[in-house]
Amino acid sequence: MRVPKRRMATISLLVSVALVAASCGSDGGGDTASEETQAVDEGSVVTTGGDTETDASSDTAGATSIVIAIADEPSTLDPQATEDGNERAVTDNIYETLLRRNSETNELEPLLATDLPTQVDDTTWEFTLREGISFTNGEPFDAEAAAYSINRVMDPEYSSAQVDFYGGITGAEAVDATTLRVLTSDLDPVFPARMYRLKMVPPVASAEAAFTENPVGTGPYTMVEWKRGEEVVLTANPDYWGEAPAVTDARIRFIPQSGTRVAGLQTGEIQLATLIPPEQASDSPKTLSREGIEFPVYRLKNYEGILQDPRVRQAMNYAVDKDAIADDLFSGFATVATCQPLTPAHFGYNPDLEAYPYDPDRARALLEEAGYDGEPVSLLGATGRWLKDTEMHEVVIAYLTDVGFNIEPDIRPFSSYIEEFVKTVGDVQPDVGFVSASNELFDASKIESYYLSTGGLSSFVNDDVDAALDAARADPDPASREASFHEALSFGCLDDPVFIFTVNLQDIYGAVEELNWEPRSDGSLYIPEMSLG
Amino acid sequence: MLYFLTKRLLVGLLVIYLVATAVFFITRVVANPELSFLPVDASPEQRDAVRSYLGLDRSLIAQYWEYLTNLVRLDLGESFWQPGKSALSIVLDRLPASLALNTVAIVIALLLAIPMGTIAALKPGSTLDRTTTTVSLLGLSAPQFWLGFMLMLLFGVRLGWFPTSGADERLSIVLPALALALPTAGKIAQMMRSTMIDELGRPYILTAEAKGITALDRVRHHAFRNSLVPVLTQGSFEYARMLAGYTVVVETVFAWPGVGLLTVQALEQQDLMLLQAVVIVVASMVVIVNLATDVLYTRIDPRIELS
Repeated sequence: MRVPKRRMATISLLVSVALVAASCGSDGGGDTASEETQAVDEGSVVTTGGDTETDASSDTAGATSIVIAIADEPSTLDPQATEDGNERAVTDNIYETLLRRNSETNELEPLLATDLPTQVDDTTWEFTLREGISFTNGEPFDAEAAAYSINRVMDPEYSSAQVDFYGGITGAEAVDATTLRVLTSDLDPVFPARMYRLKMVPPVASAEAAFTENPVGTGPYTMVEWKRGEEVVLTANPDYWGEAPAVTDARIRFIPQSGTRVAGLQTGEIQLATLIPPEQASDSPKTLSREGIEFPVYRLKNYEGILQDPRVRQAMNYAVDKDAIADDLFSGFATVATCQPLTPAHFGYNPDLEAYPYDPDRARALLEEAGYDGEPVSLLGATGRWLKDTEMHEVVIAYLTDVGFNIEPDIRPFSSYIEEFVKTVGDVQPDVGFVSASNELFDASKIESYYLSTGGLSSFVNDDVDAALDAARADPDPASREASFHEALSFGCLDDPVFIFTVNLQDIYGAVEELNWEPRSDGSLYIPEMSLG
Repeated sequence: MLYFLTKRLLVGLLVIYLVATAVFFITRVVANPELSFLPVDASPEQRDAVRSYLGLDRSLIAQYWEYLTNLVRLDLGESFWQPGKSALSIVLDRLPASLALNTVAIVIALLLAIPMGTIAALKPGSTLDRTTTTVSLLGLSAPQFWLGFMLMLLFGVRLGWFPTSGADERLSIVLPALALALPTAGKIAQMMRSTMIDELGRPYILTAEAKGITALDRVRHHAFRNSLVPVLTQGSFEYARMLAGYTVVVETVFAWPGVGLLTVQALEQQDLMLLQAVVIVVASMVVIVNLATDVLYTRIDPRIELS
């Protein structure tokens, strides 16, 4: 027994390796189904074909129940308290708003109201509400309930995290049972856009402490159970005033690891999963994606220091290969931003702007013209907060260094990064600061945070941009308001770049083949729009 | 025995107090809680509101004193992530799921490890010994994160025997429990093997052998029970390690709704109060496990007295 000692150890090792290899292989298409990858169309929805060997099809065919996996558990199911997508994934299906966005065009349309609101005077808007609708606990939905809902979310005592979204609303009152008036502090052209997020709550039930765990809405679903740490179970509201949804039962599960969500899709335990990382998209039976509202950008300080000369900031934009970032870093699940933190779905989007082409020679020439000679440029970034933020910094710093910049990176964990990043103009700010700018209001006014010299996250001072944004703020005429935004965005792109613009990230969902659904621009997981078959 | 238990209980309380103090100062001094709580574009007013809500506008000593007095009353504050809920109640809600998972895992680990270690010890150096040792070393060195995904892909996706995640079905516990059990089984098997080898070489075993008692009976009636004491020590240590660490990884991988997953949620939500409650509850559980182990010693080996 001299030789076998070592041989046995080798054999055991080989057996284990083989086991592991076998399990790895299953991750693609299995042994029968070949791993076909088909890019179906070049539009926003891309389908990757694959695994059909599981018995998922027999489980879900004709079924009226669906399991959706989201990454994190909601903190509360009170739809007016927080500002996080986890709560919305559930409450979007239980509660309703006066207005909503059309899933295809993203246009505002009435839901609990009968039409878009009309303006009574500069600071008063009037809604006419649908009649005969009740909350699932029997409380009537009328103008009193609507006024209560609006006043509740704006109440400083209640301290909702959503208040910023609803801007200058000062109060609401019922004129009669179906007529609601909402008052704003100033003329607010964005008012209708704000209302697509404000959910209507029942006055009696929402006053109780247990409301955070026992949602009561007017919507297509009611909650059956909230298993903490695990899932929320929904069932169709039998008394729903609108069309009955095709899916009658839904479970929204909380699964933090994307790999686990994908495994659930492969076995058919889950039919839809959110937040699939680009590199795992091909493992999912089907991938759905749509341009989202996140724009990773590098904020540039324009009023002092080495970046004061606009040519230096233009050079930075020429230096970065945006296509490479979209195609390689995000595996194609991103589109190059058109030199503005907006998509065409946003009001105020400037269609004339184009991304800076990747032109390192031009960047070097501009730097020479500007007399830049290797002075240090500080770059503040966060790591581990946003999708691929660390990799993004590595790539961008490499591009900038390539054309001659001397970058001094300061990459920190979020909690320490944010202390530096929130310093405003007048305080000590970094020359370059990474942030993921998002805009769920679908209105260009949200750019004020970065473009206005007094903006909360701004390191940018430009009188012309300030003037344009001031003009837009209280402009009731959509055409001239849009023109003001176009002007501000144009300055911030060409003459005096606000950011190094990079890409617009797509929201990526994994799904089973049987799921019929188009992701929405606003990221809402609205189950009545889904069907299986 | 009573004196011993009281003493151990007091030491346990001291441990919990030290852990609580460490948590307090680490979270207050190292991090900046109010900034981590809020979104990037929170207004200065929101920041002030959060500061006063958390009591961060008062001196550190005043905060610490209040924290300790509340701790004595078992008031660990309100969760920031789930407003209106006491942090302690959230943790206690999740505790049964973790205890169930860890208990199943340690039982599987012992059921695998004790026979493996014993068989390996019967003929040290034999093929059987080499094989079991290699297998247990493999289990021991596999990181739970990787092992968890491998088990999920093999038994969940490829073979379809068990659910890949969640806690919905009775069988859902199998894969996360295996991911916890296999590395632990490796360690305990090694321990079992070496103690059994020692034990089988002792004079009383040689005497038994001389009297003609078979190898199986020598193990069964004599050596086995004596080898269990170190295995129990190791097992209880491993159980505490699972509770205080490995479950974080395994519950996250398998979306198992226990305290481990809650820890990750509390961290991601920067929920200071909840994190404190998790750490203190887990520390208490470890103290209890150690105490229970001391009592178990006397059951296995009557020579051990707690005094």
